[in-house]
Amino acid sequence: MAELAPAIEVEGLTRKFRTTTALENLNLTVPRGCVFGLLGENGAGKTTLIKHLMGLYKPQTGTVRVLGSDPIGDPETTLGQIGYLSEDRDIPRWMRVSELMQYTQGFYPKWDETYAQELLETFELIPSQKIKTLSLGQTAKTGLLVALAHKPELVVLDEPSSGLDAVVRRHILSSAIRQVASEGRTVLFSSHLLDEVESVSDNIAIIDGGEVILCDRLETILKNHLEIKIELKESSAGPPKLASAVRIGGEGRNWTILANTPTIEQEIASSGATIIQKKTATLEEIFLGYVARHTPHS
Amino acid sequence: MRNPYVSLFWMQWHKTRWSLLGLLPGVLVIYVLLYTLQRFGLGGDFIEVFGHLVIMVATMITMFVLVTINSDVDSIRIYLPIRIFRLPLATWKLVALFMAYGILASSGIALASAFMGIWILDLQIAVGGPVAIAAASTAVLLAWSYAQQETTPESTIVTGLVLAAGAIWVFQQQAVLGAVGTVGVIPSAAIFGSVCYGFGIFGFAWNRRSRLPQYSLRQSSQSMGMATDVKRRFKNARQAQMWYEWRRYGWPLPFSVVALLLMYFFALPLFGTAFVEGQHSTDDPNYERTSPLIVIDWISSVQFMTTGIQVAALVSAVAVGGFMFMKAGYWNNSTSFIFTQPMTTRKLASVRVFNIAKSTFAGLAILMLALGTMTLIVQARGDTLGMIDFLEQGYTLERWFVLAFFWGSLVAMMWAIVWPVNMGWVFVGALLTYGPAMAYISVKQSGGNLMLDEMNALSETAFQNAALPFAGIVGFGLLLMVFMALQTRQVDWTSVGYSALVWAISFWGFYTYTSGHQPRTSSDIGPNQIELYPVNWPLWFAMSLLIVAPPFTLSLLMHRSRHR
Repeated sequence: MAELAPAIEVEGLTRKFRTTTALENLNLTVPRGCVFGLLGENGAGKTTLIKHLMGLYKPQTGTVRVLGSDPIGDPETTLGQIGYLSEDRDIPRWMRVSELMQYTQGFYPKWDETYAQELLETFELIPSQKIKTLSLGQTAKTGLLVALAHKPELVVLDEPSSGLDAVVRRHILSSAIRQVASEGRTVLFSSHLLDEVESVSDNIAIIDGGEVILCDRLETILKNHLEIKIELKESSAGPPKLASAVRIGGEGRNWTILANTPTIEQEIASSGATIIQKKTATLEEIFLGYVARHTPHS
Repeated sequence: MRNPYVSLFWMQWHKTRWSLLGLLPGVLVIYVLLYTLQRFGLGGDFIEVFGHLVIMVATMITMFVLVTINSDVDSIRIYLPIRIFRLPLATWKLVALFMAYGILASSGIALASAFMGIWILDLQIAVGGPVAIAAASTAVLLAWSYAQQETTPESTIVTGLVLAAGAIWVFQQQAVLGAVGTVGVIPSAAIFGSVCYGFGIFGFAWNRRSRLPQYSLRQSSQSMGMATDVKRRFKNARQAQMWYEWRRYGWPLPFSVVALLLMYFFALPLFGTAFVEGQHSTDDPNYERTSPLIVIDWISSVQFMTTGIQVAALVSAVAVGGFMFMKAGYWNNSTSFIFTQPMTTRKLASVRVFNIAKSTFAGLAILMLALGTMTLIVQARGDTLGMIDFLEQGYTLERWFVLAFFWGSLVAMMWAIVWPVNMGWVFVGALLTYGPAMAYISVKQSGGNLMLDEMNALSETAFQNAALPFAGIVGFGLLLMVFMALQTRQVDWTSVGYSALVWAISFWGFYTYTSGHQPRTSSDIGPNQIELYPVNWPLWFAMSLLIVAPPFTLSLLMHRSRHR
């Protein structure tokens, strides 16, 4: 049996908007059957990347393949296997919830009406209600319903919990994302909320300045990253020179190092510094460490 | 106040009393002005100008509303405050109460206004004038009083105008029936009142259901006499997208055709009746109040009738084209919703093209129905319209061709104008070619060194010469679009072939029609017998291209908009 192509394969993708570079030679592979969290600050390039996956942007350089197909050359096949919730909840506000369901059902032969009704009940939506009269949370739930009810191979959620309260977020995360993953399908979702990503993701990628600066399984990332506090023999105006450190912060004799390699301890020892404390880094520390490293003024 | 009806009446009165009372001085000012003008023998002109001003403003507002409203029938309604729907009153009772209040208020204003205008000032205006003014202004005022709460003036203006037109229509019926006897007024008013009441119940029930989620669907179904949760299942993506396109962009064209027809054939002459009838009675000592009214005269006049049909088609297409320009993402791709659906751009474009074609033919069907009905009305009155004779005047063509060309030109006009990007290109072309010619003539004329004949000759030459580059620009634009659409595989050669065939047929139609024109300078000169501008082949060529342009331009635009 031929091996299935990864859910997403992006190679050398670059996107510029006039003078701004949104994506810079970006490479990313998302394996099938996982929950993949795309982490990044606002403006990091997450939505731009997702729009390329949906075929809404044409790659200026590089290639994009989703479920083995080209979203621009073959939108019917590609988009037919994707359930998408956009960041701005772009669904027709003039429709009723039931009308949106009926309309969407026409496009997807695999539409599961029983599952759709289940989601309708779970999300406590009223079919006869106009979308323009729904609250932000209800609109997101409606968008999620039509994205999930046709049981897509890949669910793409752009900032699914943006602007939502904790209850709705829990609904989206527990009811939707985990259920999709438990059925062996793939979820790619972008977020800048670290706790949300940490709670559901199998894999994560951190995007900053249009580049993927870290991409791995979440447990591997958490296991490999250490936060080490060291003390120098003498006070120093600048940080100690440690080649394998991700980020170094502090002043005088006390410095904190974020690193993802075991060789860091040898480097510290050879520099003459003493390790005061060593612990596994949290996702927040890792994220801040990588993002700050890429920020020019940091 | 234990009685809910009294409470509601009281609330209505408190809400609108100052505005209603304020109408009276306004009407008085108009009457005093009329009185003064009539004293100096100027009243007729003033009444006519004022009447036309009202019509123009009403038309402009309606067009604005048609262009800017959300493409959704649900938007065209008055947003009554939600507290009214929470009252423990059945919908039919609520509507009856609001109608009773409206009738009482407008009757009061009509009486006061008639008393001032006709009996005190002895103005030469039809009796129905004050009634029309009272009904229209009360309707708009009451609608506005609720619109302000939800800041949706556009929907209220539409409602107000429809109500006003309806009220004037009632008055007109009364005037027509008045010639037969007062007995006819009662059934007419009863029918109109029932229709209004039916619309009221429908609107209220609709409003109530959508505003109160907990409102029982069963209850609303019973009160509206219709099912609300009909399951619609689309067999495939194309069917689903067709539904979407019709709901979004399809129905506005036939809808605005109906609105324009009503405006032209009813509202316009009715306003005219209210204002101009007085002028006739002043100027003509033999004029009788029971003589045929203007609305009937208009229907009897084939020239006005065909003009009305053409105006409805033209203005509707302009309005819907404007609406599509703003909403369909041609210039500001604000929504990417349909582009995330699993459908190729080519299919999406073909659905839109097909849908607009359907919409255009629906508009044509309405126009044909309207003209047919009015022809029958005229025949029932023992008159002959002479429609075909009129169209044949000045032409040596087969009868079937003349008729086919008349209807075909209406379809072509609506179809071509409704596509804003194509029209934009034509506008640019016209600006670049005809603009300098017009500027040149204008400059020459402003110097005061051009006689009328010289100016006409100059205009003719300039316009004739500008036609070729204009056709060149339009033709080049379309060819470029065809080339790019082929290159991006949005169309194939089969489509190009079919388009060429359609274009050839269109051009043959234009050619035959223009060639068949035989102007005569006889004494019985008719509307089509005057010498037209010299036959302008490049212009016809360019215009006939517009008929085949949409599939190419739209698919290319959508492709570019989708994959930016």
